[in-house]
Amino acid sequence: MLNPHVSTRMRADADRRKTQDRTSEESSLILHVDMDAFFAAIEERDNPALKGHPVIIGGPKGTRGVVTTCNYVARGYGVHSGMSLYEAGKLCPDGIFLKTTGRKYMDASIRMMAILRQFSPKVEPYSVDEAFLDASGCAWLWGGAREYGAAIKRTIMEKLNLVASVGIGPSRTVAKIASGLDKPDGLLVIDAQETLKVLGPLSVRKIPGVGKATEQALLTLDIHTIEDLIRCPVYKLRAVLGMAGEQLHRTMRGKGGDKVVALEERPDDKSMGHENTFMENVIKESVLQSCLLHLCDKAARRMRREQYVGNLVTLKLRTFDFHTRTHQRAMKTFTNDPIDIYETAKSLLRELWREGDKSVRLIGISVSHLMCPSEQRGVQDDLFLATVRQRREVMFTALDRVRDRYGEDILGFAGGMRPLRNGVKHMESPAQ
Amino acid sequence: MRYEEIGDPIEVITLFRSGKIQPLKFRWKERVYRVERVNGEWLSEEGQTRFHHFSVMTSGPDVYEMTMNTASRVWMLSRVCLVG
Repeated sequence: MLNPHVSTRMRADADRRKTQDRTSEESSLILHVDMDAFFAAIEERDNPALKGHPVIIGGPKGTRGVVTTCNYVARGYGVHSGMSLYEAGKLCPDGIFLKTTGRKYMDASIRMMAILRQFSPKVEPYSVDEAFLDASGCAWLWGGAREYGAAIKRTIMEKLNLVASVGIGPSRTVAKIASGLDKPDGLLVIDAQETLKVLGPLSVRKIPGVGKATEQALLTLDIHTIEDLIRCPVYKLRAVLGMAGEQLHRTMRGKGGDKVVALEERPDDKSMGHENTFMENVIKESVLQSCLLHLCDKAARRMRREQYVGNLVTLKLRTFDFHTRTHQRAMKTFTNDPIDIYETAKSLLRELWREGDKSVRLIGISVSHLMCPSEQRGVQDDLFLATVRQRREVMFTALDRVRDRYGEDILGFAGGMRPLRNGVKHMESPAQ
Repeated sequence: MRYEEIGDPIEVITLFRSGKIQPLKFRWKERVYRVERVNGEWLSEEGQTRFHHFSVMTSGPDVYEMTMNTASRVWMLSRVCLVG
């Protein structure tokens, strides 16, 4: 039996912890900073003559590929992100179509995140042009939440000459909805007590992460609006959506539960990979294989740079009719050797596709079940292949050093270059 | 309005001050252009080589994108947007 004094102290400690948890939840202040039409705004900044014209980023008009983003003038024509460039060209024939200049946008993104880190130690980049900040302990320094948000907007404008919208709320979800409600150049603060009043009438589809499937599930409970969701008993939500329903309810009631996680606190990447969209559909296996080799090389390079090994290879294939298939296989050992990854990927390709099948629009590769060096101890390597692997490891270390110094394209597998030599161009993007 | 890729080496008079790089004038095809406004700037890297990019305007409405290779210290006129 416990000493009564100890048990009283334990109860008091537990009560204090509960109070602390409740207080920290109640006083959570989260900002969502979202740059307005980011890529298009950068292009307009760098070329003021574009202002007032419909600017569409993604590539030349009528080519394959999709709209990465567009400015608000182009949105007035019905153009939106993800739409094919061909369709955008039809909707907005006078639009100015610009290629995506990734490095320029990435540089602006890095500068933007650096500005945000001056305002809070807890900044979670959410995408290239948006981030969450935990302002729970710092907003009072600026005279309040609104002043804090305004100072961030002002600094971004002064330093980058770009416009940001800021949403402030008691949770990430509320903050993100708030930033979207007042775009462009918005600043909206929603207090925990006001959540129901401001967000209540909105459709549940306004909640980030609520797509068609979740909406359909909620409709079975006759939930159409955020207010319906908030008023719905938790057990009913749990019954149709599981734990996600409970979390959704909690978040929308402004009870936190979705904390800002700074970059350094984030869990490790779950997978690393790359994918290619071909400019012209591909019908030759040799072209797909050489692309695959190039992609495996890039994925393995990333893994080596971040000191990961992995063993689950996933191949993704999208045919001309937008039908997407994936297939995966575990390798015998954990590795970041592009040749091992390629051999597995090649066999997956043979299972998914043969010459004569539908032409291929996109091919992608990713490696998961990643482990960092500290976890690698104790994993038995294949003894028969160890020597070969060690020699290749030396080669790839040398290759990495050359690439670090002279750039990624300076050296590569001869087979991996073939698609470019044959004139089959492709657009690459990292895939997680 | 149309963009033209150029890729010509250019001579640039540059001010290096307080850790910042500011192009003041450049010579392209025997003509000297005075930089009246820097619209934007960004960095890119290829291996260990760093490139400083500037989007500038001279006395006219056209926009010039110039790039400095920090390893070779060579300036290049990468692109022009002809507005007029």
